[in-house]
Amino acid sequence: MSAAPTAGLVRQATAGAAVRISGSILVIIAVAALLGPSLSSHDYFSMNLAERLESPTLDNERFFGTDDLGRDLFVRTMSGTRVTLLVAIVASFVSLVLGVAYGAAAGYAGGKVDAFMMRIVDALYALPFIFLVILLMVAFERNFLLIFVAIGAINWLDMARIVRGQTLALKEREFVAAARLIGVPPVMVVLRHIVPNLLGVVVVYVTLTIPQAILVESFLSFLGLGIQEPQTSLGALVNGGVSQMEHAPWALLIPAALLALILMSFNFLGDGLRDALDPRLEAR
Amino acid sequence: MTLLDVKGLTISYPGTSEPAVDRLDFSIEAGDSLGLVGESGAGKTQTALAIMGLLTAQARVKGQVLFDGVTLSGRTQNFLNRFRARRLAMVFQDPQQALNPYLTIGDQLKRVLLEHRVVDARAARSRALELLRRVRLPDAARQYRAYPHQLSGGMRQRAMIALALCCEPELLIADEPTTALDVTVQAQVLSLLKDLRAGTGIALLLITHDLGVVAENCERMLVMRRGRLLEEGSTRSVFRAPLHQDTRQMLAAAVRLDHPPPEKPPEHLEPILKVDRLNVRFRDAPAGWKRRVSRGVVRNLSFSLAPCETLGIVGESGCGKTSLARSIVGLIAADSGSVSLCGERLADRVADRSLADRRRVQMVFQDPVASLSPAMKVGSIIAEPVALHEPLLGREERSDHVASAMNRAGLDHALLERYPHELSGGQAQRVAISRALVLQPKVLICDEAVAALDGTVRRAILELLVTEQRRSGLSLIFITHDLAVVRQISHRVLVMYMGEIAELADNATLFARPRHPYTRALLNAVPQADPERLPEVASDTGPIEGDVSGERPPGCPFHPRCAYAVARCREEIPLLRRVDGVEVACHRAEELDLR
Amino acid sequence: MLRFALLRILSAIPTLFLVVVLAFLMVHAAPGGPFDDERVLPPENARNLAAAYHLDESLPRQFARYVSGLLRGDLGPSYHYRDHSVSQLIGTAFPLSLQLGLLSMALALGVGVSAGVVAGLRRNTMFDRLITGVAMTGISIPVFVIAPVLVLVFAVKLRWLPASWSGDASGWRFLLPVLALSLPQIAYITRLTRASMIEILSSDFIRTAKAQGLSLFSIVRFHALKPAMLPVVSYLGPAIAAVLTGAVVVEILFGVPGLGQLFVRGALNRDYTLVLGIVVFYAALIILLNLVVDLLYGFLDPRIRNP
Repeated sequence: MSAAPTAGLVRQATAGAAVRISGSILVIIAVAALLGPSLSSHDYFSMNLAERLESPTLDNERFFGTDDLGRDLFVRTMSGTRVTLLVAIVASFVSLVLGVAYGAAAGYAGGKVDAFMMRIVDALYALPFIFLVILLMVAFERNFLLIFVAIGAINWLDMARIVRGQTLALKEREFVAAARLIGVPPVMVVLRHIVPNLLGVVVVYVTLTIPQAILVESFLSFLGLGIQEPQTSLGALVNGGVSQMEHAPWALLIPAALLALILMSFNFLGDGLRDALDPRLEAR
Repeated sequence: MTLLDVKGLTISYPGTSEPAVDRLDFSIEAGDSLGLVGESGAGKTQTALAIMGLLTAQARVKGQVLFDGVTLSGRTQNFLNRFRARRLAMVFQDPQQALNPYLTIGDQLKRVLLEHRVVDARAARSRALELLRRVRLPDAARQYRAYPHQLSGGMRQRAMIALALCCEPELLIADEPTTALDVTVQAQVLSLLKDLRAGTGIALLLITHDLGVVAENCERMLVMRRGRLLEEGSTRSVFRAPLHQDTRQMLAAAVRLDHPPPEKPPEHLEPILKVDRLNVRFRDAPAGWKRRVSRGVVRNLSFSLAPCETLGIVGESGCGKTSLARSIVGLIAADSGSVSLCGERLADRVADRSLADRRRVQMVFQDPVASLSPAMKVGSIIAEPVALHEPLLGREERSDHVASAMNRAGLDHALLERYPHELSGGQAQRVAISRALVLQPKVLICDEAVAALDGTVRRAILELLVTEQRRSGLSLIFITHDLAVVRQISHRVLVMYMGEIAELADNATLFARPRHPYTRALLNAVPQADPERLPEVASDTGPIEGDVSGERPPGCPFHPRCAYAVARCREEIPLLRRVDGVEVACHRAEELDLR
Repeated sequence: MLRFALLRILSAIPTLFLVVVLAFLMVHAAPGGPFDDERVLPPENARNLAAAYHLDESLPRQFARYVSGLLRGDLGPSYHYRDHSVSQLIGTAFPLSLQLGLLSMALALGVGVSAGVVAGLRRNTMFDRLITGVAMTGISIPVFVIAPVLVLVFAVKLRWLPASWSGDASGWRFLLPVLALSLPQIAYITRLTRASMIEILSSDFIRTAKAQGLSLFSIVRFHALKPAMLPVVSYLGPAIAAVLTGAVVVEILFGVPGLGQLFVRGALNRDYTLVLGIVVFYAALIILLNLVVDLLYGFLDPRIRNP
């Protein structure tokens, strides 16, 4: 299985409607999150109890209304989106690097080394990570950086397994034998011949793990262990919105809708990429 | 009575400019045997699928397909189900993929029998067993309970045939039924089909790229190329007097065992490569459930190779030829014995060999595209060995090396920027060859290097190798199952059977007077592209039965299948010895006349 | 097959051991002790307390003590709930979580597989698009959003179902939590089944089955269904783990006194033995269930069952 990361392949991958549409949506959201707050004169933390629970209106630039503490929801939502996306991308990147390195090493080494490394993965898999993350967050007092690490630590296992499986399959392919014959040293074989051919699968997986990372972060916020006030994330906003559901439904609906949109877009993107790369993956 | 009538069949797909099949017209009478020949991409399988109504939803079909006067084209699946299996049935190319791996053979047979109400539930098992016996499967009850993965290739194909015969159809469409099989097993299956036809009068549409198969099994033939019908007629007349230029080319490139052997190379005193009592055992990687299986795949093998010589190594699946190749290059480690190059012993594993040693022995693989790194451009692929072995060269000099290697391989420089998946099979193999030759090796091992290529391309690649050999004194080890290829380019031929040498002889001698019964059986089994040729008198035993699987028998490994075996063959292992200038491992080599 | 089973069972043991080691280390690596939250104790009392709980011993000794306790089925005392042992606490809370989990899995499998098979068969039709769309939504909306919305709609506005756990003793109180918990799984299993179905239906042996004149019903029932289910069986392992962890959220939202709630409280209370006990318990459960799933898969795949 292989996917040459060429211009041609990128063209093919982006030809699919799913990829194009979800990709565009994500780009729009990201740009809005970056630039949005500057469109409004409000900030994300000022409370104004006189203006609490206002529904969305164009007056006074309260595009998304305000929450129960009088904070502007538009700016909060945009800034929360920024945080959510940042956390998701960084955490996924961490799990990607860890997963690929570990999986490719285990797969290429093979034999006992591989068996041992995968045994460790099995053990880690069995640990209900969410619990450990909670524990860590409680113990280490909600360090912002720790969130990235914790979320990344959850997802790298899947990536490692996938990469290892792919590496095992690729290792048996003739072009790897040819490379060994020529005299390419093992590290180079992995870096030059195996990893580039993993990229297709890896990219698909990353787009599918990003939603997971976002959900984990949201869950942590839900438990009160995530982003600390006054900073906020989409998950935290949704949680906050739940308690105001009856009086200010927009406080729940807007961030929830945005969150769902982001998650769906990543899922569609991942699916679309997988479909686009798959026939190439099967090409023999 | 006309069974099948195809009129103006045209199949096209959105996104491609040329139709896969273009205005095809032909018919099949009851009891006919029609061969449909063509190279890959000719549209043969598409035609078969169109007749059976199995094309994908994207296919745009025009024209008509009629069976016994009833129009089949354009009908619903439900309608077609009344004809499929009952009146016309199909056997596919790769029985490994074409059989449901999750059901036993017996279950699959019963399903067809019950679906079409051939028998009731009680009689289904016995009818299924009867069908399995009819296709000459040994121990039918056992195969009935078996899953496809437990059967060998030949047995699986017979099971497929049994499935096709469930409802006693009038027409059997066989799409490359024997392409994936060993040549001796192919002979068995084709002979089975012949006998079935004689027994039941079933008509046969046999699709193949092998002109030899058509010549020996079909009374009439159709030649297709790029979707169009080139020729049609009785097999004899098409072979004798082809109308079309393309047909003539195909016939010229076809299997002929009477091809003149190449000239002898200049004499050399010292062999360039020496393999001495090599032993390789195959160890299964126990994936958790299998016991660790260890069996000898190469046993005590010795031979030598002279400079400028081509040694052809022939054998069927399981004979160990690929393991032999891999252990010579060091991809797998031998258990004992040695491989020496220019007198010096090579390390068992490629990782332990010096760079200098590594560049002297190179290999070209069977699947051209798979042997090229998919993420690298052609230019980088060919340059990589140079960069590794001569790191001090500047970019200019490196590209010179690459350019010269490409020229020798007949590659257009425009391909430098392409990726492997953008190349045709022939182009990809040329790239693989240039990569192998850029280091100017002394020995080049070709492991089924042309097996995946079409006739005309195959010829070109073989010529390229021979030219290179003449130019640089390269020694070639050519591993293949295809005797015609061996005939064309080898100086000497080594026949392997179950890990041992059966016979090692000069090209001309081997074909004219084989000394080992296995060699004789191989030669008999090869279908030759000559319809006039009378069936061999020597094959009074018919194609040999059985296949290579399971444990090595005691004594001579071939004795269970040998027509000439005596008691001694069962008890004593025959040693490789010289008989009349030929090395052969058979107790009866002197007395048998296998011409 | 027997060999396969034995090997899998045997390999589960070192995995479990490794889990215990890792969890133990993690719990003890976290800063802060179990008694930090309480009023500041005079050093004498602090020392006595530490000795009573063996916290003054070296880490390896504590570990050895812990493991020997484990082998006897004793998970140690709870630091916070002084009168109870961890095993007791788990024993009280687990049955509820188990019920929730099993019901959710059953629902997820039932609905997911059926929807997936139908979608796979009617690929690219309106039906399929609808099912896929709903599935996609199910994956994209977090449980803690769905749950309150469900409560708002069904409990508060329509008053069909009880809103919280303790207010009602009927079986109906299970419905909303089970629903909330199963929705993401329904969505995932639907997508998985659908993809698997599509892949199987395009394989060569299905083409052979069509060539044999079998009706679509026969093909699906006899040839396609079982192979298509294999990836779903494979997924059961991770699915169970996901349900068990997802239960945490649901339990908190609905006030169900299950293991998830117990854990969060234990973490917040720095009740380390409780926390460690729950982690080890869950891990053992996951390993066991994965083992069962693996064996089941091996049994279903003839290539593994009869090599």
